[in-house]
Amino acid sequence: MDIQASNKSVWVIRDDEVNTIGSIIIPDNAIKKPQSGTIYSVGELVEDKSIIKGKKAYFNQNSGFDIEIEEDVFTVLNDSEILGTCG
Amino acid sequence: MVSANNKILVEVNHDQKITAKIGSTEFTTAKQYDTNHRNRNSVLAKVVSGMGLIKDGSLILCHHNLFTGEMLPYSVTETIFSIPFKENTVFFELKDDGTVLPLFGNIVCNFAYPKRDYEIPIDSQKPYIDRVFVDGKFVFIKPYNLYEICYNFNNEEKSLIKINKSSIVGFQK
Repeated sequence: MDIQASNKSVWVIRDDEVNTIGSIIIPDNAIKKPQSGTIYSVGELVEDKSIIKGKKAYFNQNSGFDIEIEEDVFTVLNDSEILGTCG
Repeated sequence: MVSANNKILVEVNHDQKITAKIGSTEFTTAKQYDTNHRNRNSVLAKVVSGMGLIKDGSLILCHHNLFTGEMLPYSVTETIFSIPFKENTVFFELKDDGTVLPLFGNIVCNFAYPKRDYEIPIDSQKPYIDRVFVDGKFVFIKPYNLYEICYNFNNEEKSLIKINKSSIVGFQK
């Protein structure tokens, strides 16, 4: 399904969770949600020019909310919740 | 009397949900004892003084908590209320033929249900909390931002689902 973000929202695909350190497996309850992801779609009211599709975005661990669409999980953030971008 | 501070004066009939017509038969309902306040409370009001914001005499659909005893700040008399004319109080204007005219960026939509391999009755299905159907396409919203409004028009029970434009986060292309 092709999705377009709307208003001031930014859709991000979170990076994969890190569940090992070297050869040590981290228990599920100690795994932290990744704080970065790839920008998938940007709403038409987002003013910041550095927030562009395809760039890597950094945000707070608990920012936004998740939407699951056909086995893909997107994190939907408000543009003000993005701490920085790179790439 | 006219209202002030961008408010409008409306008249509310508190018995509006006591009778309902299902098919051609008129029933007396027990809505006033319902635990669901959206079902129970009055939502339909007639504009007495629209202050140029809305035509006098038109029917409007409002939030379900506006005309209850808890909303005393808006109450002028038992049936006359002075309510703010803004997006989270007034949702629709009701036309004479029963159709609704959305106000303040409200959008009429339908529940979206998860696809299942097996069929279950519609009453047992839980709709998505983060997406709705508008014109056959998914519209994604902030979780729990959809609102069901139940009203009686010409003694007929009706309900519709609405979202606000500001709660939309994305849509299906």
